[in-house]
Amino acid sequence: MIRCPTCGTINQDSRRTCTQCGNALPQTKIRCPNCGALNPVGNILCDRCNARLIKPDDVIPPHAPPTPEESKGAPAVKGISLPVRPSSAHDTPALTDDLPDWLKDLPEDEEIGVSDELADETEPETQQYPEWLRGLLDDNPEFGDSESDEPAEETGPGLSLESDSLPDWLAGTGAPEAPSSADLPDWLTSLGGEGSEEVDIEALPDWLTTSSDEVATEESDQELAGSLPDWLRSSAEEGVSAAEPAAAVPDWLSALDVTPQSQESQPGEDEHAELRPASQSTKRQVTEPAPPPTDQALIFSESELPDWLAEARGLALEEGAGVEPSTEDTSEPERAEAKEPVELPDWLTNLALEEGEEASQPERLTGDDTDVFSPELEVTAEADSDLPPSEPPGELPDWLADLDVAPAEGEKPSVFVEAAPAGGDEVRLAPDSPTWLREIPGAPEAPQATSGTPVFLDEESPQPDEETLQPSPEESHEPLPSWLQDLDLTAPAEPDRDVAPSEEEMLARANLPAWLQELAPPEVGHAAEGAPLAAGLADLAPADIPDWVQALRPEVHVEGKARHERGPLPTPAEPAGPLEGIAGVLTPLTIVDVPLELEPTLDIAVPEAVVAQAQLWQKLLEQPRSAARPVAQMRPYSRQATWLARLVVAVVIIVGVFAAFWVLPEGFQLSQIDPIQIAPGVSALVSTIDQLQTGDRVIVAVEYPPAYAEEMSQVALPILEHLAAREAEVVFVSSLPEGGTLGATLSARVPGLTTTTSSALAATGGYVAGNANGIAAYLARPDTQSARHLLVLAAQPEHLRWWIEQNAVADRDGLSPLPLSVGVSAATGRLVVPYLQAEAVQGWVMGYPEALAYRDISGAATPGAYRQVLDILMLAHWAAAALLAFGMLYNLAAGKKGTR
Amino acid sequence: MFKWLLPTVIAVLAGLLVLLGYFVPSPTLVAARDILVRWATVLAAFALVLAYGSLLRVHLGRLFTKHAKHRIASLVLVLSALGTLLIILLFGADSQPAQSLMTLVLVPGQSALLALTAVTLIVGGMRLLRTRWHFNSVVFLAVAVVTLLGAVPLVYPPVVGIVLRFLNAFATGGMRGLLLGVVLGILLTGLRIILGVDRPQSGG
Repeated sequence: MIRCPTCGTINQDSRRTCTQCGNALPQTKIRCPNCGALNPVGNILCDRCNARLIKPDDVIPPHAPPTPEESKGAPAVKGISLPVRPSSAHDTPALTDDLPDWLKDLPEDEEIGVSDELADETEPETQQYPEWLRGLLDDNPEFGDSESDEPAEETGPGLSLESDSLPDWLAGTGAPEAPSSADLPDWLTSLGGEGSEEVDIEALPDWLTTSSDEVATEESDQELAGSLPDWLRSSAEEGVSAAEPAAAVPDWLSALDVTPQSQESQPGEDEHAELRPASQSTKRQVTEPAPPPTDQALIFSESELPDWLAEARGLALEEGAGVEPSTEDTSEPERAEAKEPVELPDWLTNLALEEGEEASQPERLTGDDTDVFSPELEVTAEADSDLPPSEPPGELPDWLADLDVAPAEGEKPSVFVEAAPAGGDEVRLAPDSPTWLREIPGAPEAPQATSGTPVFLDEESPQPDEETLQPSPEESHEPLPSWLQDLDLTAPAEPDRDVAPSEEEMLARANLPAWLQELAPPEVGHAAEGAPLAAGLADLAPADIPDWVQALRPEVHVEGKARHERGPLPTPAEPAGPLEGIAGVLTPLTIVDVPLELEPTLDIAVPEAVVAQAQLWQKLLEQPRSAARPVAQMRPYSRQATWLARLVVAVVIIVGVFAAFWVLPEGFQLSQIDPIQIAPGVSALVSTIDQLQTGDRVIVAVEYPPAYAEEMSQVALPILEHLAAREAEVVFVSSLPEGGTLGATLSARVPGLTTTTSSALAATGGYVAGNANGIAAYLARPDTQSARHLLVLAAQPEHLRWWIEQNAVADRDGLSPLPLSVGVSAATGRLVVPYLQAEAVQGWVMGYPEALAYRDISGAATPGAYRQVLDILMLAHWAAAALLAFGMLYNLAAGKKGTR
Repeated sequence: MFKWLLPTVIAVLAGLLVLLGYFVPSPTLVAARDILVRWATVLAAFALVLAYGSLLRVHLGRLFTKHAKHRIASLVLVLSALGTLLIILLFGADSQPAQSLMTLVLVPGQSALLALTAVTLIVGGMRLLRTRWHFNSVVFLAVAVVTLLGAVPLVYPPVVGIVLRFLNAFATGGMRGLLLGVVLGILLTGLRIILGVDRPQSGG
């Protein structure tokens, strides 16, 4: 997860911009130079291509933790400074992208900040630790280099203290004379480079570089040109007038200007003072080292300085610190001046804090809490403009006074403002000051520090009045002690954090991770378990380890072995269940990626027959198409042949019909008809008609279309003439629309036939709609039931069936079926033979020959024309049969010619 | 839902009522059956009117469509339909003009078509073995020849009579079978409609 530096929103690792505010997020991945893949911070080899992400020289070699024997003989780690810095340039990991700028310059600082002697002395001890840890030790102020102290936990790497980093009590101090290059201690001289003017500005940390960007006057440049390095001169450009050479002092150095607070200052107002860098333009909270209580300002004499501080100023040369301060700065008068009460800068006041004190755990001060924690003052740039001049540098240590970097009068006070002690000039140590500080001869009695807890205010917190931030004239003019003037100017590592606490406090404050704690010597652990430290640790909240520190976590690396080839991670303890709390019992499941192209295999036995059939189909499909395949195709008819055949048929039929009229002599009868033999139903029909009485109603259903009108009329006329002879009353009905008209035509051809119209069908001319249903409904009518006979003249089988069926089932409703007789065409008669043979049918006449038989049986006169028509019909039938027979025989003889 | 369910329900109920009316001697069911049968008769008559209107609409549309084929035939058809309707409406179906129209136009015309059909059937019979050289084709033609000769026997020999009687027996048996099939088909169709399997009333 990535915390947005602007709004604090937690974003996913893959995010480049904040989801809340949209600002760019810091990079949390390392892009592989080979394949471009993003790797997590800490990878040495790319996860994708196994390419090296970090140069081999930059990789921290793995080190096994020291054995107990080695740790036993090894000196206790007297403090750990984070971030991790390799002991040599070769051991520096190539994490420049992840390190803050000021941390990138650590190697340079190391070169100029640690004397060779000190390095030689510490090297045998540090050899017992891994190199990366040795780097930590090198950074430890106990080993003589304090400028690389770890930044505050919540302090961003790019934090610039600028001019506000100078406490106002020091800012008001008069600017001492700029020390010449010869006056500077060696370590300071080396810090500034061989020629301070030639120091590359890029070699400076950002916070110094930023400070150097501030405005400085030319006059101050001229005054300080010969004695100050560039970075100091650049600091002097921060809008300081020429008459105020202290302005040339960088902010963090301004904080070194110890100035006792004015006794006239209001204690209450001082209580609201807060030490806070004015450069904190953002809302980000910066942990500030705890300043000493305002009413309990510590005043040190030069001889009471701790060793490391003495080393810094050169006084510890005889004690083997290895640091060679300038001998000119260690004169007795100056030391006497240093004994005068001075007020320590903020970063020095941290020295007075004991391990485990709340000072190491800054508290976030709210507006209400401001009254409680009064020593801290928050000074804004505007408020600093009216501050009185700082104390003269004579009260500072010589070595510091020689720096001549005290802020001039009227200079804007730096951030860190130390409230004036309420009790006077006597130096008193805080009760929670480290032991070594209290053991300094002549150290004052530490008063009870009630408000020495370092705090930092929110920007929303109420700001103290400007007057409360103004130091007293006495303290503003208090001279900087000489020993302080010689203070290591290369400790620019943010004075607010540049505190040199004890090793126990360092350990406690660092809140080291487990892997780092394991590397610590046992002495450190015992020291950490001391009562003061333990009490402090108990109150400490676990601090988060910054990412850049996590990135420095060493990991066992084997050359040429990819990261993913490392051993399995330890199995975490089971969170729940019977194995809750037990680790390593259940092995974690391995995540198996499914191949992109998964080809499932079916474990199905295919029968051999199916395989053979499939092979056969495949073989057939692979065969080329044959050129000629026997395909049955119709031989196209010849138009002339078709017309010829039709012509022949027509001529034969026509000649045969007309020849019968013209050729056959009158009275010549070709056909010999036996009515009884050829028309068995005619006799029954004649008998039925003969039983009709005069006036009986006979329903005649005309169920043939006009095309069969002539044929059906030859069938119907003998019956109608018989009915007329019987003086029956005929009612023509039809299920066909044209049936009524055809019935009327028939009645017109039968003289004496009595016809009536059904009352129910008068409007429709005898049309019975509804097919079978209509016929059923008609048969159920009372006037229909009064009829004595039903004659159906049909040329279509369907209509005949309707009448026969509906009449047969009429008895279902208590009706009696009517006596039914049928006259059908010759073509339809063969299809309704089963119906004709039904019991309900009392007789029938089928076609023209049976019509002649009906005449013969009924005894009606048969004109000669009827016999002639029968002969013509016979000839036509013979002609048609002859044609069909000829065609059949011809084609049989010709063979199968229909296909080719 | 009402597009198919409601017509189906009505058809099923109507079919069941008519069927029960024939099997159950209940005056109520018989009355309901008669009502439904009468409605069917009216609907059948109205279907004839719809058919007449549809015929006119199709051919009138063809007349007023450019580049349409058989426009003259459509014109004759429309004029004949309208003329016949007009004559029947004016003079009645059993009037002399209606009978003349029947005997002078419809009967000769349809008889001529039927005669042409006879010629066409004869020509087709002659070519049958040419196109379908099969045993069944031979049998078909043989039966046709015998039937023609036996329908109007020139000489009525006893052999021909025996053959005709034989053929009549085959014809009667075949026709009975066809009729049984038709009846079974009608019965099955009625049951399918009553049970709602077929929905001809809703297009299903």
